[in-house]
Amino acid sequence: MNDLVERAHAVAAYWHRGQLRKSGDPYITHPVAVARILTELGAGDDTVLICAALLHDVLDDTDCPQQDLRAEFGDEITDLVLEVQGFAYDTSQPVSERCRTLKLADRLHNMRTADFLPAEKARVTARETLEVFVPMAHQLGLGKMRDELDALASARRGPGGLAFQAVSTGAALLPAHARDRYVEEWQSDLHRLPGRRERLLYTLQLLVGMPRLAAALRTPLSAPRALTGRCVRWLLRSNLRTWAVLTPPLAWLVLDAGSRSEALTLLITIPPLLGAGVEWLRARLKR
Amino acid sequence: MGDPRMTLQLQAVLEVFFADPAQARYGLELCEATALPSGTIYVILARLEGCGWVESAWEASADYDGSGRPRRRYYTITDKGRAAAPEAINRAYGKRRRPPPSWVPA
Repeated sequence: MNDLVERAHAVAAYWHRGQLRKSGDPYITHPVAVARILTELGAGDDTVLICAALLHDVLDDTDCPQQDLRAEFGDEITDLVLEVQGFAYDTSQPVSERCRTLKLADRLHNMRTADFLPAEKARVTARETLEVFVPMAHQLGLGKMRDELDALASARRGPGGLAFQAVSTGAALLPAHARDRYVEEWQSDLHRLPGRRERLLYTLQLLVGMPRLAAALRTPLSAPRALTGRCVRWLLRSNLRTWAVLTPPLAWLVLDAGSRSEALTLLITIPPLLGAGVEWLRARLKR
Repeated sequence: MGDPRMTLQLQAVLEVFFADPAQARYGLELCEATALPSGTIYVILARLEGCGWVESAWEASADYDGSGRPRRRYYTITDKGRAAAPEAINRAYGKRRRPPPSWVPA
């Protein structure tokens, strides 16, 4: 590795010491990941770009004095860091290609780790990504990055408020491995539906079917039913028993929700959903 | 793993696939073609996929434009499904001594 790059890493690690990402990782993992993304893009030989990537948050987020940076890394790197820091999405002022490439790598890593953001913040970031960064990656000819940003952001932005929220919340009933896939699939359906009424109807139907879908995904077909069946029947015979089983995970889900609004959505959507599932199971087991 | 239960709704979905077996379909398209609710369609697709009669894949990235629409997931009937589904339907109707629907290949 280049000496200057190594110095940039040391300086960034020094100033970000003790800071944490939302994921709980040490903050320095973020600039390092951004530099790695740039290297993978083939910019590994551009020392200025890689150093600026490692240092891109030290002026904004730490007490690192600008003149120290300038003294050690020179004007080109420092000015690039300043340009990246002052980058505004909505002005038409000219932005250097390096700055745009760095911002894209920054955004890509943030989107890859967006699971740790509160839901609403993730949604805003996703919309901004689709509006600004996906076209920017396209302009710069970075097809692979464009597609990854597009997929990451599309999965998080949702076509419109309530339907999106309800669908993602309802998907909490599905097995973890299937959740993201169905949420993305349904959003793509929702995106195609023209009106609020249609979207609402589509969503309600989905929510009603959710317990059955969860069951279909968990036991693809004729799983051993005898013993499980008897236990389930016994549980379902009384409301008390049923809810004694369902309440703890529900409470856990609500307490674990990222924000108050998310918790509220969960409380509003899940119990009727579970209720519908229970009714359906009872009807089905009577047959 | 056995066959899924031959409900009328499941048959309606199979009928759409058999109308043009090479054609890949997405969830909402099947809702519209069968007039079944979304919740039902996805349960049926999950069952069909679970027993290997249908397979699914994301649409190629080239096919979705920058308009921000999330990717579609496309379902296609497999060779296994094309062979097994008519048998299963004929068996189900045979038990009830009724002729199967006309779209089912003999």
